[in-house]
Amino acid sequence: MFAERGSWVIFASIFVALFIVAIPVPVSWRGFVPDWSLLVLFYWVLALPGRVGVLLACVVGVLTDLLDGSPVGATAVGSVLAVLVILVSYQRIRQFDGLKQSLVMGLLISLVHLIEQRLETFLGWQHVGTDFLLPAATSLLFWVPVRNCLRSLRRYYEVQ
Amino acid sequence: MGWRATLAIGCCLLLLFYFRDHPALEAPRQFTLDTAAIVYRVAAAPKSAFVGLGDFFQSHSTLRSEKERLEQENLVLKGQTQKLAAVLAENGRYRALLRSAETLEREVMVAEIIAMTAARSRHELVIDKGTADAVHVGQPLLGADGLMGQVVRVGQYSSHALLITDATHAVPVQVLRSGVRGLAEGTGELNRLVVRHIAATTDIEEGDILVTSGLGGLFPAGYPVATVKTIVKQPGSSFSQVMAVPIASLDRGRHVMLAIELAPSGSQ
Repeated sequence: MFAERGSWVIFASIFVALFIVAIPVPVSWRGFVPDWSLLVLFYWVLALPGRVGVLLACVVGVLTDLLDGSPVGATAVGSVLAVLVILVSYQRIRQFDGLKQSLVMGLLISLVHLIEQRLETFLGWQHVGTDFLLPAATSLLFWVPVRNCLRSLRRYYEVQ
Repeated sequence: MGWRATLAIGCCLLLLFYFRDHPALEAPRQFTLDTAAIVYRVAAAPKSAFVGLGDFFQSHSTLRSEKERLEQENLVLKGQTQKLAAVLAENGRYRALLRSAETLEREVMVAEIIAMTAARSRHELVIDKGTADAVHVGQPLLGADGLMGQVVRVGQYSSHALLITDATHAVPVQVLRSGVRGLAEGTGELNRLVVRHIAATTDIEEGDILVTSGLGGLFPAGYPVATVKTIVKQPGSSFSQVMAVPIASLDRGRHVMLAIELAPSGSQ
């Protein structure tokens, strides 16, 4: 996976996404920040299912957890499951138009957050209300721009 | 695909439930915490540069009026400190008369806030002091006006501090006016605390100041925490619902203070 052509594009895009997640935002906006790292991960899985899979999903999940200080592994479990869903049905998801794809991504991201919330609650964290699902709604809006941007990157650097 | 996924999920669950507080992973934990702090610092760099540029180009008159304000404030504070010294001495004499326990003297260390962590459900700050500066888990975090929270994770050069408004945080408090004790719990909202265990007949009023009571031994006694905002007494319920607003400005400012516990100083 590391030696193949253009692997660095995949890793670089994920690191950039993690940096964007860490950019400070006003407290009242925090709930709305999209999950950039998950969107980027989902794009690469959808585009190159033979190459990017559950292991990278696990790594991205663990890095996200390390960054935001949540229990390490809570996001990773969800992202592995979500990526499994994409791996099983990527041919179908690719046929969808932008709107349908966005909805699928929104659903997958809310799945990740639901699992994360459950696991964190086991460990004594407390979530108030259903606000933890808000990022799924905002991520959904950003799926098409992220996809188009990464697609042109992929074509430019001929990552296959 | 299947076995890889099983392996990945297994590893994650192991990390979550077995290695979460395992001492063997202390070094990597500290390393990743410090690395995350660097990421936050880099991500905040454009914003800090922008703020710095704004400071640089501040007009002369603004700076002068700011200086005047600070000088006045300094004078007032100095005056108050003088009074404080007298009060402390008096307090020490009373304590000696009452033969009460020794008080702990505390000093503070200033730390800079790097960022608020990206975990949305959590009120956690990243600060730039770690074990290299003798920061330890449980150390109280103070703002200019009052208590802000406590350190929950330490790296070598950075640490994470949980704010008092986090939904999992609670601090034992006391009403400054009447001495009534309670427990101020975070609600997950940055401007609201709920005070538990206040009986309906208790002497508490809107506008009362809550200070740390020192019970539990974690927080030093006497630091301001919150102002009581609303008190709802429901007929039939033996407790009143008390809401309070934190005194420290939790989402503003760039510096915080970490309280350092010194050896017992005896009666001052």
